[in-house]
Amino acid sequence: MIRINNATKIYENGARGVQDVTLNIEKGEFAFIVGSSGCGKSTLIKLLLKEVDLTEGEIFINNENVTYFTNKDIPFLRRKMGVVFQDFRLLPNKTVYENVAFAMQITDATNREIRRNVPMCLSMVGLQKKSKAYPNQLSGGEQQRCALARAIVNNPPLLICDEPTGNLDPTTAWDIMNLLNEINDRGTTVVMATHAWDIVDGMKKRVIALKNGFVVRDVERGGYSDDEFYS
Amino acid sequence: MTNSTANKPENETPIPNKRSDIKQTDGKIKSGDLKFRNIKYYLAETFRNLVRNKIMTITSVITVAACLLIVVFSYAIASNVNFILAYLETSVPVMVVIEDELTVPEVDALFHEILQTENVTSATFITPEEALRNLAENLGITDGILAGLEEANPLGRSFNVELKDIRMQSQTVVAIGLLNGVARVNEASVVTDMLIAVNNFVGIFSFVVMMVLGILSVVIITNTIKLTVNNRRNEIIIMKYVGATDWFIKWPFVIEGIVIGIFGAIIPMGIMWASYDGLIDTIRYTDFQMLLQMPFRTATELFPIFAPVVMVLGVGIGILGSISAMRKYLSV
Ligand SMILES: Nc1ncnc2c1ncn2[C@@H]1O[C@H](COP(=O)(O)OP(=O)(O)O)[C@@H](O)[C@H]1O
Ligand SMILES: [Mg+2]
Repeated sequence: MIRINNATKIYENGARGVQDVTLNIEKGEFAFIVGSSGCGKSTLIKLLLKEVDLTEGEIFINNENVTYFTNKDIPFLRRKMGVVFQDFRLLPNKTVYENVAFAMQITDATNREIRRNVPMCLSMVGLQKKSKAYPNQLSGGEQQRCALARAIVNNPPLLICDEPTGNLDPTTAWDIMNLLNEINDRGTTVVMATHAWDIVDGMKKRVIALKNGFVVRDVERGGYSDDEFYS
Repeated sequence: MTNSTANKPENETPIPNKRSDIKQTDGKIKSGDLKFRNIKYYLAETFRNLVRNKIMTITSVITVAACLLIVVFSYAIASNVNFILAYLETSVPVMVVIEDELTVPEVDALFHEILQTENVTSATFITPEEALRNLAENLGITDGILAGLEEANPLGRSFNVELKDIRMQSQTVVAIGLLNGVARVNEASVVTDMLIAVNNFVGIFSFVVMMVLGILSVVIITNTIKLTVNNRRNEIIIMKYVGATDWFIKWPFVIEGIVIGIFGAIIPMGIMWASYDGLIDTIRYTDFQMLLQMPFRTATELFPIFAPVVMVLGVGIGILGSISAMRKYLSV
């Protein structure tokens, strides 16, 4: 699903985002990207989303070399991946339903498909009763579930999350994790950047640890800090 | 491990359990971003943007309208001047008075020389009797007085010369005046010179004002759309994350410019339509008697010509404004 070969990202100001990262994430996998703040988690996510360009190396998504994708190709790449952020990023003047439907409207989906998929996804995340609410009328957990519904409504093969539980209390965070697990069980590859050690430890999934932009550990069914200590 | 299931969906709608349950879109644009459903979305967005920035929207529309109003009026003036000049060309010919001593063959030779002069379309020989009758008609004099004058006709033989282009009248008059056998040439140059001067002045003046207002319009529209872009910065970022194409994001801004342009065009057209006939009447019934006989264009004649031009100009200014705003402030 994702193949990263010797990826290095150095920002214009000289800051090192990631350095010489080589990774292979298979279809259907659930992978955590962990590490302390500033270690390069978000940079890796942004590279996958083509929000930033690689300085060196190559990235393949779905066997497609996306390294040199231009502005013209990027929207179509992003339609094949759902994305969830720490700060939800919902459109404030659209309802829950409209926020989710919006992700379909920009594709070639028909109204019939939208009317079918949106309620399906809203009920999957348990928001069917709040479909007419606006984001500012929702709790953090509900907003994140809405964002999750939006991320999966086009049924992408890949779901990318950058600290999706960062703004949530532990119980709500676990609700989101259960949903992510459920989505993963249905065959969607999930890549999640986080520094929430309890969640990583509890999920027993693959853990890719970064430090100063380097991959320092990559274990199947690992914990946040198997032997090394990360603050 | 706290594996809470408190928020499990209640299963009212069937939950897809295979990815294939949801129809996959292949992510390629088939019919472009300008599909009917998208257009509906773009228009809704545009309307929202315009309403959100009311003051700027109104300012932009007024500027465009002011610019186009100048276009409309200078066009109306130019069109009327040309119309009147064309009328003068045929109805007020140049009168070439022949020297009394000229013999008939010499008159005939002069006739051909006049015809060969540049800018002359035709020449008609006028006998003194005809000249007198024409004069009497023009002055509205009754037959009685005319009868008395016939014996001692003060008028000589002449040619009525019609011109191709009345704007060249002075040059043509000089050229004919130099021909042998021409006593003098009467022209209606005061009127034409004045009209031509007015037309040139209006043309230059309105061109300058139009350019200034046109540039101002583009700048103001640019700023209006810049406001919208800034207001919606976060939304644009989100739209990009969910895979909106650049043009999907740009169209509402382009349409915003177009809508401003359309309203900016409709206003001067409305003003023109409402005031034109009244203005013409005011001009026609001034003390300047001569204007009474002059033909003027009617609003119905002018409208079909300038309406599309003004509309195209308005939309063009709008598009220029939005493109400039997007280039400067929207990096998608
Ligand atoms: N847009 C940027 N411009 C310059 N440097 C950046 C930018 N984004 C991140 N960095 C730098 O790259 C490094 C990795 O940051 P990031 O990937 O955001 O880490 P994390 O998400 O793990 O906290 C940091 O040193 C950070 O300062
Ligand atoms: Mg980060």
